[in-house]
Amino acid sequence: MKLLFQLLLTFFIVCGIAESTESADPISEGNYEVGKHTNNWAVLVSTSRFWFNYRHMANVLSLYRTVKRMGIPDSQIILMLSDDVACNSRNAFPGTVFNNMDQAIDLYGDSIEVDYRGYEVTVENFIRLLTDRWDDEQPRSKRLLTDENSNIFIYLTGHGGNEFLKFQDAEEIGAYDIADAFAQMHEKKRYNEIFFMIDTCQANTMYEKIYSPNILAVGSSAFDESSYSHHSDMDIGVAVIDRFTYYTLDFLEKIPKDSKVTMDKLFEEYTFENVHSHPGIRTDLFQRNISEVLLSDFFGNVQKVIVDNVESDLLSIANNKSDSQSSTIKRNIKRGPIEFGHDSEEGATFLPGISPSLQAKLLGGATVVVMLGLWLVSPQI
Amino acid sequence: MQKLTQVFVIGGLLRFLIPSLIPSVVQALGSTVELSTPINSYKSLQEAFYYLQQGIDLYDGGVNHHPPLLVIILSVFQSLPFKEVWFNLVYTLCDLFIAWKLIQINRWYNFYSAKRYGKKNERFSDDIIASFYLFNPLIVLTNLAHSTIVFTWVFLMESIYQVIFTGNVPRSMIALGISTYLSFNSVYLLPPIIAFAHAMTPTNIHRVYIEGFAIYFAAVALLIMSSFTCTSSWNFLDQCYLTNILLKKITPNVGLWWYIFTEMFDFFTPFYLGLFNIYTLVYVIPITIRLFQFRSNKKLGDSFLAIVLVYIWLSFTKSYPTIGDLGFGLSILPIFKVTIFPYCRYTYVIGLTMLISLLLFPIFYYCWIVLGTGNSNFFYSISLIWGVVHVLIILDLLWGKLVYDYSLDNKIEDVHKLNLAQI
Repeated sequence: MKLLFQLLLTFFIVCGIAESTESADPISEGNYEVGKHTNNWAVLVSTSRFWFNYRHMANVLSLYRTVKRMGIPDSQIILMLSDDVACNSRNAFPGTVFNNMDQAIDLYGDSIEVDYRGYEVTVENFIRLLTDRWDDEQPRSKRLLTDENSNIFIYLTGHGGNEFLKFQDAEEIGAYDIADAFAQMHEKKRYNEIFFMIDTCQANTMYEKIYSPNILAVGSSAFDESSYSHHSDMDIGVAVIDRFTYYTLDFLEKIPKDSKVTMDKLFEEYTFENVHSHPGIRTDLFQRNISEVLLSDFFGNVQKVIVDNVESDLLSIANNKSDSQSSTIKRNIKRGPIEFGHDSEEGATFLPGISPSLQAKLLGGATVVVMLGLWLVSPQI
Repeated sequence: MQKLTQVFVIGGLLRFLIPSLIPSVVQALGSTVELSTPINSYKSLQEAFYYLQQGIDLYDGGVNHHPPLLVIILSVFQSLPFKEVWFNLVYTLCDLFIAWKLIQINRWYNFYSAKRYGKKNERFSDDIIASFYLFNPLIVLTNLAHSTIVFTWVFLMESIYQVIFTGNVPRSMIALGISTYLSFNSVYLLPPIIAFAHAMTPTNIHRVYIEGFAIYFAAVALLIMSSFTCTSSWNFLDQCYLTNILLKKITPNVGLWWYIFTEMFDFFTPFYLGLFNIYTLVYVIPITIRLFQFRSNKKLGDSFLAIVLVYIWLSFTKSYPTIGDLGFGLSILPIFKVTIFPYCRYTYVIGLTMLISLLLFPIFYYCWIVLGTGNSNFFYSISLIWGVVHVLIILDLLWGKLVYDYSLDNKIEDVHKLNLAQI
């Protein structure tokens, strides 16, 4: 009876929530399939440095803000920036990073946590991060501690080209490197699903080489196409956001935390008119239908909670059991006299009744006498 | 005689007064790695005295590697008042004893060589030979550090002396047996000394060999049995002898073994231990045979030189050498003033190299251990150079001897006029 009541209560609550969510959502939700993941991680990388790549910093920080807003905690976000924009001497608004001309949101704020800053953003560190191949000294906050139930959102932005992405103006990562890193992650069971988003020139070439399952990839422009910035801020003096990310954010800003909006709605935003390039979406490795995948599977931190049905709560069960038998039984342990270990056995004394040292001295003297005797009686040859 | 007495007095006072008046000298020198090794260090001897006093097994802690009888006999001095002074006296007397024997051997050798070769006996005078030993800095330092290798040297000298002066091979073998008991490496001196006895004995060669070997092994066996009885266990064999053979204590010293075994995989250790021991062994018999005084030609060969060369070879390939080992070998060399030294070519180079390596040993050890700015490679490189010094000495002596033999064989008056080369 009690069980039935509890079940009914749960059912009504769920229905209520579902209804409320549905009514609050301006965009139609459609069918969705609840993912198998239990935790969400995000890896947000800006691979550029210098003042004129302000927009790449703004891209990443915007998505950082979105992802945090949707629920992923800082401990599960790896933010890799060169971080040389907010306090740059050329910044007319020091300590701030904006992604829009209207300067409505300061992305830099008080509470961003950058995990890899400056020259730590290297190809080696990125690949090590993905594959978790570190020395023992690497702190936990800088590691991607995912498991086979983690959904990871990986976002890269910067300057790229055909099957490469430039890191910090010094080195490049190749499409094959990323593909192999993902393959290692798959072998080590480090992800459930990956959503790989990349906003660079010729971005689609970067995901073409991936060969591991359960990866959904989106790129901002096709081969031999550039990705464009959206607009510049006249006061700041440089472009502040890229087109692809601008429209992504435009869509995501309207999504609340518990939204049931699916991925295909996001992808519908990526039109040539908006982005001025041909974004690509790679779904062949992804097992679920994208029209059934929730945005919050990757951007949010919605966890599937299964309420366990127990007769009574555990605490009372534990307490009841302990009454029947006493946990502290006094046992009388007999302790013998204290014994010290001996390395070797006590040797048998040849002359009993005399201390070993005196005995040794006597025998030593006897030996000396014997040797002297032999010495004296030795005949000459 | 006057000068000799002076030399003895000064040498004796040097060894007696300095440690008595400045006791920290013994401690300081006994801590240096060049002068004391785990096998013959004075500190472990003192530790052994304490164990004996307390009735603990002498070899319980792995600190003491001295044979039991040495510990027991010297512990007699330990129980006297002013024990440090007594020990200084013991070591002083040992060194004076060795110096005295060296003088006798020098006199004999040069007399014997003059008779053999028909040349004049232009030996170094007694006081100079004694000074070469008593004022040799390596020997003085070894003695001041109270290293127990001095006792081995005493019995070694006695062994050689007995062959020469009394022709008493059994006594010589007893002395050599005691020397082996004290320090394992003296066993490699058995072939040269037996060959020397053979050369010195005109008749009854078989008796020399049979009695020699028999009494040697009997003496060693007697001492070992007695040690077993004294300590009631066979532990001493492992600690005294197996440690030497199998290099169970890998500590830095001036030798060549320790560095290689520091980082060797266990799989290879037995092979290399066998190899190093065989390397020590294989040179002994060939040197003995090559320098043997065969009956066929009375003038060639020099078995006494064989003993000295084997000793220097042992100093090179020992597992735990000290700088005193080479010092001991060097202090015997002035005996060969007439026969070999004129034909040695590298004396200057050897001298300088030895001086440099002696200077650099403590410096690099200090850099390595105390400062931490160096590493073991520095120290080992100098011990490699120390080994080169040994090799150069052996080569030079052999060359000198061979040239001298050649000149005798072919009746060449002045070898220096010729330009001899080795084919």
